[in-house]
Amino acid sequence: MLIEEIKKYVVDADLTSTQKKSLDYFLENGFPTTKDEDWKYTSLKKVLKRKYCLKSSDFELNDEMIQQYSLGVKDKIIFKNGKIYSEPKILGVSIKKMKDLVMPKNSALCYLNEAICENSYEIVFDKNLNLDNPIEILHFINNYNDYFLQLRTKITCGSGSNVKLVERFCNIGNNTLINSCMHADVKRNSFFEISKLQSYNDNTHTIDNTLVDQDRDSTANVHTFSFDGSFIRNNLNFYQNNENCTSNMNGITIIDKSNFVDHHTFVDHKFQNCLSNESYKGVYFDSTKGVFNGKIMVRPDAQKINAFQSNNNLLFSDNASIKTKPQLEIYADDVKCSHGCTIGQIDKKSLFYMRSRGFSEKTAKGLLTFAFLIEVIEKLNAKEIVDYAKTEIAKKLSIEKDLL
Amino acid sequence: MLEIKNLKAQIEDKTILSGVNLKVNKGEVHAIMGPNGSGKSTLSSVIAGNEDYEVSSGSIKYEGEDLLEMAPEERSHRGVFLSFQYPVEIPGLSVSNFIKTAINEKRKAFGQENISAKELLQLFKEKCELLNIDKEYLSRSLNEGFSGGEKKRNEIFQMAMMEPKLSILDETDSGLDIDALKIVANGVNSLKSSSNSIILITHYQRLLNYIVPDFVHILKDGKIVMSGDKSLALKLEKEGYSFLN
Ligand SMILES: Nc1ncnc2c1ncn2[C@@H]1O[C@H](COP(=O)(O)OP(=O)(O)OP(=O)(O)O)[C@@H](O)[C@H]1O
Ligand SMILES: [Mg+2]
Repeated sequence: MLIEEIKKYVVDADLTSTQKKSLDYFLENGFPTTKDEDWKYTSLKKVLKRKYCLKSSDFELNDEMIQQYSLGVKDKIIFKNGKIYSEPKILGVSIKKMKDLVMPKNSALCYLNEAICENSYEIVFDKNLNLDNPIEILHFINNYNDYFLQLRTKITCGSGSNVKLVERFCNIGNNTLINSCMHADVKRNSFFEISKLQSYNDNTHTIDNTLVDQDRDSTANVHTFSFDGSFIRNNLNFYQNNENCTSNMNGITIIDKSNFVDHHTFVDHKFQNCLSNESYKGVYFDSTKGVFNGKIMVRPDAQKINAFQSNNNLLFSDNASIKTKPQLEIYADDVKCSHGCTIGQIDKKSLFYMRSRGFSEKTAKGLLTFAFLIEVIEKLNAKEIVDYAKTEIAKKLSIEKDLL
Repeated sequence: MLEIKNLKAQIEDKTILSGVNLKVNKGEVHAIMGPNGSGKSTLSSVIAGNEDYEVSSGSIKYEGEDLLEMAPEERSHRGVFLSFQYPVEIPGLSVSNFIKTAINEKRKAFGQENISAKELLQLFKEKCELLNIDKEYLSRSLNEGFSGGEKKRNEIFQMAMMEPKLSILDETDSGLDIDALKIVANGVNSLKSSSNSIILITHYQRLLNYIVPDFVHILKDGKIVMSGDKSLALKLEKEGYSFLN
């Protein structure tokens, strides 16, 4: 059992007192099960059944591998099994390894991460720093054994800064379960954007915890692209800790085979005059399963809030399924809130219309699916990201990218 | 060009076409009229290859080949075009991208290269002028929010871009205002030649003043019950369908 492995592992580990406390919390609660409301449709059982080791081994990384996973942006922060490997030299950007990095937590998995992660980093973007281009964070993962990896990063965006990141986990090795915790501290009047590119190999199981704290007049955008990987659970939380915050979440999920993706999002509107905007679209082939749970909390003092949420899904197979649920808790009265979930299939009439104009069935389905996704694609501003999305979408739909 | 023999078609257990015979030669214009629900759109759907309808007997030969064996896209590649009575809306797909892809899918089927940007632009320009279409509308989503008349004009625009051999216009005139009707009819007339054919489905004689048919057929209860020349449409306009009884 993995719990036993964890207990063995910590015997030799040199834990701080906070880490010990977090460990105790985790051991008391254990991994989430389907008895937990937030994990009702998402069972970790199969993922946890494997025998993982917690110690990492070293491996060679070369430019060719980096190029293969890079979007071609110039500035990259590269990690190897969670350890920093290379960093860009940019004035106003610093990366520090932290011994004791305490971050907000939203599940027992975050406590576990806090307790046993050996490589925690804080990336600081100085105040008023204005990055023209995105920085790419690449995590290369390769281990001799099946591997349970903890990743832990705190991002600090100084006030008035403008920060765009692209994050990608690149598992080139064996079965790996990744438990990643990221905390973004988005200070006053700053802009933070991260695009998460989830194109993993079949050996990769991921739990991605991203918590964003926002101060006054800030904007935070998180774009999540889930295309491959056998198991993906995303926990994405936004905390609006002052007035005039904007939180945008966009998601495109296209999965096949028997892959599984779960998006759990939470926006905590605590102050007035704030906005949240959430748009997730999913396309499910074969015997895939999807879960979407979007929670929006508007606290009593949070007046003049606009909160929009939508989750639209296309099922391409009778064996595919999606559980989608909005969860609104609104305790203020001057609030504009809308949500909508749809589950549908490709429209047969449209398909015939296109085929009668000479489109092959594949092209017609592909373009109709792309048209279904376009609303989200139009919200992406970085051209590298739009290009990545189009490439992956074309691949998934087996059509030429030029058509998009 | 097209030869339909004793065509019977049904959906679920309901028979809609109960033995249609129709022969259309190169260069001819045929009008099909008939009461609501008599099977006109069903006939055009079956010719275009809509798999919702099951052909239980009969045959359709197109340029000497078995049309019923071909997938809808193959029929299109070979020159069959249906202007839909109810064109579908596709939000998120622009008119220009839709038409460009349609042209290229056909070219691909014949092993030809994609149309060049220059050639396409020229073709768009020419056909927009022909049908009095504002070029701005090429970047709009296909049929989304188009008025009834705009949708019909867009169908004929596609027809003009694709230069089919056999065009079936299913009530293209319904929804067009008088000026638009003239423009569209002029467009259709200018695409007409001795090597292509047109089937016009309409309820009104008015369209036939502009596009003059060689033959007029009346479809009733899934069968062609009467055929004649253009004077049949005039008679119908005057007397209604009651004279058939
Ligand atoms: N998909 C379908 N499912 C069930 N019934 C259908 C379907 N398509 C057509 N029908 C029926 O078949 C008959 C013929 O319909 P069709 O649309 O071909 O008539 P039409 O001659 O084009 O009528 P109109 O002049 O009103 O356009 C009608 O009774 C119609 O209800
Ligand atoms: Mg009809």
